[in-house]
Amino acid sequence: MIYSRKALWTAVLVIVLLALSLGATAQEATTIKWFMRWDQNRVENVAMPVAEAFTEATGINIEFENIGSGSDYYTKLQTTVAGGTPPDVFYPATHVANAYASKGALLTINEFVERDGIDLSVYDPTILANYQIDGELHCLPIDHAALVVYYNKEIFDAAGVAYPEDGWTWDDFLDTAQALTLDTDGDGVTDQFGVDTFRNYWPMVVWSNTDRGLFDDIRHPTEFYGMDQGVIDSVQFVADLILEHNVMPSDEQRADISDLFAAGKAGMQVVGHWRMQRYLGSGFDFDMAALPLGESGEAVNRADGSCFAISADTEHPEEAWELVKYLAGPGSTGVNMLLDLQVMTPALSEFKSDPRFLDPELLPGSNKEAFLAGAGNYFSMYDPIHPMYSAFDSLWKQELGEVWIGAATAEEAMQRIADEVAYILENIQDYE
Amino acid sequence: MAIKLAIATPKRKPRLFDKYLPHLSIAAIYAILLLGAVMVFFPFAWTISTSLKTEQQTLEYPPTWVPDPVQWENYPDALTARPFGRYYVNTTIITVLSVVGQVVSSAVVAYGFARFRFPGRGVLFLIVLSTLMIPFHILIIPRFILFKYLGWLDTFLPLIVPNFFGGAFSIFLLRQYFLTIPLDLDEAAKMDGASSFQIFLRIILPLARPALGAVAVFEFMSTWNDFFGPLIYLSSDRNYTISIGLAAFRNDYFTAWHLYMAAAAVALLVPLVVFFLAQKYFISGVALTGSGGSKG
Repeated sequence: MIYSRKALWTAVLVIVLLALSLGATAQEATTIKWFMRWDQNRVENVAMPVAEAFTEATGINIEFENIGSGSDYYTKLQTTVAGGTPPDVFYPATHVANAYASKGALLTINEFVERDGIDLSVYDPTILANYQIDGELHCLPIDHAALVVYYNKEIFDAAGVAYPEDGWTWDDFLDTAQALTLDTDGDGVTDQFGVDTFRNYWPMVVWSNTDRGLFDDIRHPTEFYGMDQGVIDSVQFVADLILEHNVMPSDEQRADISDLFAAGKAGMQVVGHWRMQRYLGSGFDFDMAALPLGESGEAVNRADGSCFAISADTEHPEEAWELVKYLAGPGSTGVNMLLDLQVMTPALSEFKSDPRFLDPELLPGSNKEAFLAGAGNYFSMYDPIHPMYSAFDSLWKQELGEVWIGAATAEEAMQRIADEVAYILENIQDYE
Repeated sequence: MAIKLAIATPKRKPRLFDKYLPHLSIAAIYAILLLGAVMVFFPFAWTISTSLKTEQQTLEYPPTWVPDPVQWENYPDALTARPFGRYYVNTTIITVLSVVGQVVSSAVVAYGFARFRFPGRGVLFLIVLSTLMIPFHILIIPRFILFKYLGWLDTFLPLIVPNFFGGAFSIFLLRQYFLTIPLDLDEAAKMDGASSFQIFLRIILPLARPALGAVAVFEFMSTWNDFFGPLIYLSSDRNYTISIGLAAFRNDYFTAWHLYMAAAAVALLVPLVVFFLAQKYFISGVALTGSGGSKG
């Protein structure tokens, strides 16, 4: 039984043996740690072959680790960085990259870029600027989270509604959504929604109406535009889709279904490239439309995405840079493989016009160009790119939560947010 | 006294209802238990149901209970998507050693607190208990750095070895139980020439089996299900545990629920068997630690 002396000594022995067998592993060639947060599809079809090809081409070994969930990924990343054993190459989202860069945790790559003669103009300038602080580049971007309106052609056809056209406006969007919202069995409960919820993308509606972000300066915010009529109206528009027009489901109506569009219960979905694989597997006919135009008349889209970064503490900066270049550099193997998968909107301009992106075999005749709409008017969903963002993020989620359920108007909520933000901006040094 | 009692309980007329009352109350108890069982069983049934659906069916709205067609291949698909056999072995090694470590070390410490008088005992016990109040999060990075210096990162050691240094909760639970064992037994053994260690082994431990079992079961459950520890300390695929393997089916944008649930159902088997085997200890553990807390 558990209390015999034998068991105790056996346990001690096992521990010692484990320590000996697992603790010490000899290192031969240079090995760099590459830490990712991809889904299994990308791990198997991109990460694994890329790692293999890279080792073959350079002789550098890769120790690959993947944690699929973002929050778990960042917890582990944070711990290893703070604990002094960061991975050599990792994959932060825009706002995380900036937070790490501002703490000096990312290697600046300007010297490498210059030395290897990489022409940075092949990256979309707004996207690249996300990762540049005071002229210093901290990582190479791979994608940006461009949004489009996916629409289910079968639902449109059944309702006799015309497909969205380029240059459509939010008014057209609302009309379309209304025509698609149906109570098929007449029990007073909506069975099919015009659009699945996209309320957390409300800043995108703001950009389209005001053609500017939420703050005067995305990196050094001094003024918040929350009380602008354009901002208030944009938030109210999103809330009214739920509350007044009932074309977008509320939390209760969604019943925690992860994607009503994929389930065939919503005619449209406002989301990015990353859901494509799921819709391809859903069995219905769909296409993409560019985001509707707002008051400003300018097409807009998201600039933020993810990049490949090198840890400032890496022991192998040269090798790590080689990997980053291999993954996200101009003409790189990594981007090439990703394009074939149909999982992202690339940050490299050359790939944006690549037929594998624009006219993929998986989606013959589709309007992939919708993902490119808004070029020149890119904004970051995480605005401002500043350490105070997390405070702002929880603030708006709380206050706008009241708006989405009709407990407050957009104006009331924005007033409260503006008051709090004014206080944050006055004490901004506390957040840096 | 007797008169008082007689006054306090006057004989009342038997009513028709009385005949059925015992049956009714039993029926009521069973109804409540059944309701509880259904509530507990619900998530489990949902796991099984989802694990047999196609990917598209997992999205269906309103959700359906019976998969059509039944996708048995989800199980082999899920279990071969990642090396779950390896993960199972790893999880078992970590869990078994953790349970052994936790039970052995906590029992020794608890025996000390329960049976020996020494200066500062009260203060020491207070310190042990107060470790329960240190938020887990502030320990993450210091512990990580400690294990880094020991060269234990990406080994099972950070997950196992701390258990050999006792756990405040287990120590408390065992100490309280040891206190309920009459001192007379110790003294009788001492008269027969038993040393303190012999008393511990031959008298205290055999009598404390329910409490030891409860500690073992708690430790088993928390280690088997632990996600955070393995996430932080393990980084090679060959060292991963089941909980990390399960996370591979999940990311921010998409969860392959059908595969996730299939793998989860298989991962559930061991805890389920342990629970049925150790049910007695588990329930006594709840009684020992529950809000009643009458023991000790």
